[in-house]
Amino acid sequence: MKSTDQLGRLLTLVPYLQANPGLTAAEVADHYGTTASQIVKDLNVLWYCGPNNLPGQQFDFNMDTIEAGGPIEVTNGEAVRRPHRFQMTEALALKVALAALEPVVPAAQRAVVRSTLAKISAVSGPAGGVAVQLASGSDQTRDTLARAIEARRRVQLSYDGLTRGSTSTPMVDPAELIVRDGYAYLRGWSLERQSWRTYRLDRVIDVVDTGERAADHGALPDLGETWFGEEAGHLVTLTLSPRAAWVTEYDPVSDVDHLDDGRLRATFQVVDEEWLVLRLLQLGNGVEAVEPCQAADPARDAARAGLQLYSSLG
Amino acid sequence: MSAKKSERLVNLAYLLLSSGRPLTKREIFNGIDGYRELTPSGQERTFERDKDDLRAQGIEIHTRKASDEWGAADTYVVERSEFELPPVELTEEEAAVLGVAAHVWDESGAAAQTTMAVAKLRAAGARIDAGTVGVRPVLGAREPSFEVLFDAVSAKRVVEFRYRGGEVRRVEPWSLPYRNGSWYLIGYDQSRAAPRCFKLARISTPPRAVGKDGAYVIPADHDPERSLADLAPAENTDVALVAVRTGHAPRFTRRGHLVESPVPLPPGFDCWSVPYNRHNDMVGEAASMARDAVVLQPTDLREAVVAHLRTMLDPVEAVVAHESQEQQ
Repeated sequence: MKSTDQLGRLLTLVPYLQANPGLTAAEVADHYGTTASQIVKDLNVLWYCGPNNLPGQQFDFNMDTIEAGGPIEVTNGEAVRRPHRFQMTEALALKVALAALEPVVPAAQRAVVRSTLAKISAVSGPAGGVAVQLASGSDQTRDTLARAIEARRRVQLSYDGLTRGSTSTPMVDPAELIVRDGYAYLRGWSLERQSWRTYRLDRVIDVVDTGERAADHGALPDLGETWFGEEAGHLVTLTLSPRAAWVTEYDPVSDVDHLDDGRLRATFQVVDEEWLVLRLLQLGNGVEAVEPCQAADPARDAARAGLQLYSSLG
Repeated sequence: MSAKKSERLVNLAYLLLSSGRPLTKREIFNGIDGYRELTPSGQERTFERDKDDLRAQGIEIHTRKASDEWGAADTYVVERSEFELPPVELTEEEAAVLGVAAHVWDESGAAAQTTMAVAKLRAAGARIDAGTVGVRPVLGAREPSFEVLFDAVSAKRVVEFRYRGGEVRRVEPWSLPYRNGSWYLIGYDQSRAAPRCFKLARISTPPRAVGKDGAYVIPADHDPERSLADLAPAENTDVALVAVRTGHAPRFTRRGHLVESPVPLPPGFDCWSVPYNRHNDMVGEAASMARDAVVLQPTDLREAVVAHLRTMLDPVEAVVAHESQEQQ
């Protein structure tokens, strides 16, 4: 969300500068989420402000030094020592951020998060309005993984992966725990696949710290803007009937075209062939077309295999 | 907002805050450059607008009505206790947590609001570090309607939007639960005269705020946390018997339990009792696992899965498959 809030900054800058002396415009800009040149503009407005307009009582700044990138000094700011209180949205945003952190920080920090939240609530009025639930797996899973990452040790997971919907037991050198779109993930090096992999924490049934040292696999690659996992995939476009349209709310789509009467044409990046097979099986004739059409072949084979199994059992 | 207007508003707020006593309009208009240069009627109009703008910023200018007897003028004041952030004492660990919290929202969410909140804490003297390098954002909001609804929930502003391409709904927003990566809105739907839950991804037109802030009251017993729990999938009301290849289909086995099979099963297969609540969802789910799991009962579910799988074959092949099934 954009902050158009020069007024908000202006009402806190003077106390801020007095509480944090010696910062440059760039450092201040960092704390306010804006640019150094915007901070300089803000100070130029404040230069004409003060607790009253009696001569010599306006705020004063060492503008030449500031514009040259030097540390900011403010005088005549004594009357405004304390910042304006939180706006409702500011308090809400911060409280939600703290609540979101609680399940994902190490166990030892959770009480600190709670006490912080209590202190912020005490100065900002009643909480509420936003409630956040992140699927972060069990506390034990998270804590074991966090410790293994820190101690650089190899782990073995019991993982309910997508592949054939079965449970696997990969050996992984864990690197990082992240949260995306409401789910927590482990990023780590899979020894079987010899590449970086991502594991959803709520599908990790068990973790065992093997006690062995993890190997060095180089730097973890950037996830980048489009979160599609660790490998480049290929594009598949599905034409979806209205009852299958829900898929676009759950799977990463790069493009959605709304057609007549509620149908959609949605393009997906497929990195895991199995994912596409499972989705096509699940949606059945909710998928009206697949481009390129060969992309549907593995799913069709799977449907045949399924029908075979149905005729042989029960 | 222009620099000139910002300057005037800041001076208005600070003048009233620092003066130590309520001021008359004359003292205000003479005491601020931005007012002195206006005509008298300009001053009156501007003062009313400025009071509104400051109120939108959370600063209330109170009017103290004068007693008529002395012909005195009304006076105006900003209460320091209402304006100032109360003192907050944070431990080093709590400051560290705030440094991390500052990065929880990404730009699509409420990052700007969190940044400002943390800047205010720094302005109050808290020593908050920039936060651990490499902490990734944890909360985002891809849904374009999030911003307006977040503000509306805070300010208690009624909103209007079309939902799922249908008619316009007029809603009093109560809370915004977030679950499984999706945002929801819970509020009082004036058009239906009842509380409703909306998934933001299905709001089809940008929500418009209508009317003033504080237009309604959120019921005291509304609990955003409980609403989250209410969003969890409904109770399972049906049960299927499914033959599962050993070690496969954890989506079924994790929520089911082993039972005796009603029919003989080949080696490598076990019979599981699997709960579900929506027939259509179960058909799709079972179809996706058809290579490793076969629904034995109920019969209508089994037949639905088979029919569903057949729609994926071309028509001729589907007929052949059907006929060979019939012959079994």
